[in-house]
Amino acid sequence: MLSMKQMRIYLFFTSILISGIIYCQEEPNLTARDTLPPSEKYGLRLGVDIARFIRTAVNDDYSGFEINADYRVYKNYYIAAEIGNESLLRDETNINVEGSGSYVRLGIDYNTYKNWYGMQNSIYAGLRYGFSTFDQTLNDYNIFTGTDFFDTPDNLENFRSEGRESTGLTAGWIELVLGLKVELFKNIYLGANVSLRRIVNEQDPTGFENLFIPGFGRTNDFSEFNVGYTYTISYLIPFYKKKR
Amino acid sequence: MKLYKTITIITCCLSIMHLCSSCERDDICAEDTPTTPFLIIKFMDFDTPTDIKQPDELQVKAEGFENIITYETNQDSILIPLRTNALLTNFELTINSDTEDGGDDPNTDVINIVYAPVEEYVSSACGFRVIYNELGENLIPEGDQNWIKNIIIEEPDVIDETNAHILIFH
Repeated sequence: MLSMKQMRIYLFFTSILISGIIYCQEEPNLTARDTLPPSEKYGLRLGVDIARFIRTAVNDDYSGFEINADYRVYKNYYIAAEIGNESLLRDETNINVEGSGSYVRLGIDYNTYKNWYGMQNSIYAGLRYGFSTFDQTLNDYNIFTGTDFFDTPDNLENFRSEGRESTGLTAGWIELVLGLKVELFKNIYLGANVSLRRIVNEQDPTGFENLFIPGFGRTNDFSEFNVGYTYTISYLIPFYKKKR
Repeated sequence: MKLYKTITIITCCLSIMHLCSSCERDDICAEDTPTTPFLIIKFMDFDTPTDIKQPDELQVKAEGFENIITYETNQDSILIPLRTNALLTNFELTINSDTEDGGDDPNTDVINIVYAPVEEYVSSACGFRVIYNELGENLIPEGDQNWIKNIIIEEPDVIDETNAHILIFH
């Protein structure tokens, strides 16, 4: 026989169970019905790098331009490409060398930013393979001896002014890109990105090395890495709209 | 608002990275980089060829150039530069060069050092260097006036500064 107290406990738990079952059955059907029109724009975005224009204007040793494009293929994925042309004169203590040529970078961008309805901004990460064909001219150089023992007022023993030109050089690299694009006005975007680059294949001039690779940047004596940046202004040519 | 906050943060990050990349490490040729080697001459005793013998009050001058190296203390080995854009360097080696100490009179011998210089790229900071191959020597004879009795090429290729390249017996 159940005592009164035990009966109350039993009823208490049974009621919880039953109310639970009832609650489950009453769970409202909340399948959202999207009544908003499609807002996600798909299309080709074309732009230029402003940073390279500014650098060309302020730095006499540099000239270059870059055109960039991306195409939204699926949700947050974009095919991205840049083409450009650059030349840089490096006037170092012991070497004066100029590199110039063209490059292309090809890869993908992934947008990590969740936009509010109707907005098309992006904070993205990307991967590229870059390839450059270029020429390099060694204008003059010094033989490093650590002494000026044989220098006379009219003859610098270790200075060489006879130039050396190497043509048809190539280099390839991979790069990781991080950046953002903000829609300032309708279909007009302002963007900024930084990239970390690493040389993967390179053809050096005989008895020398590449000191500037268009699209990659300056090379240095202590690593295969380089960083770069671009500031872009671009225009989106919308092809169609899709729902999220 | 969240977007603008993120944009501000990222823009700040970008400008910091931008600043970092623009203040690049100075390309200065490091002290320990192997650049153009000096010629190492070691002075030996002519009578006992296994012994070193320091020349007294040695002075070194390259023919046609003003600079003079005077060794204040006597040394058994000297490091001297070679011309980089010529196929030979002529040295005037003078012993007892101090004319005010009342000792022996100065005696100058001329040796021609011939070689095949080869230019090699080192780095963007150091530029190029020269190594000297096929080292040869010739002592200008002065009858019995030569203080140098014999010269032996020990290392025909001057590529580093670890061992003596030339032995001079006197």
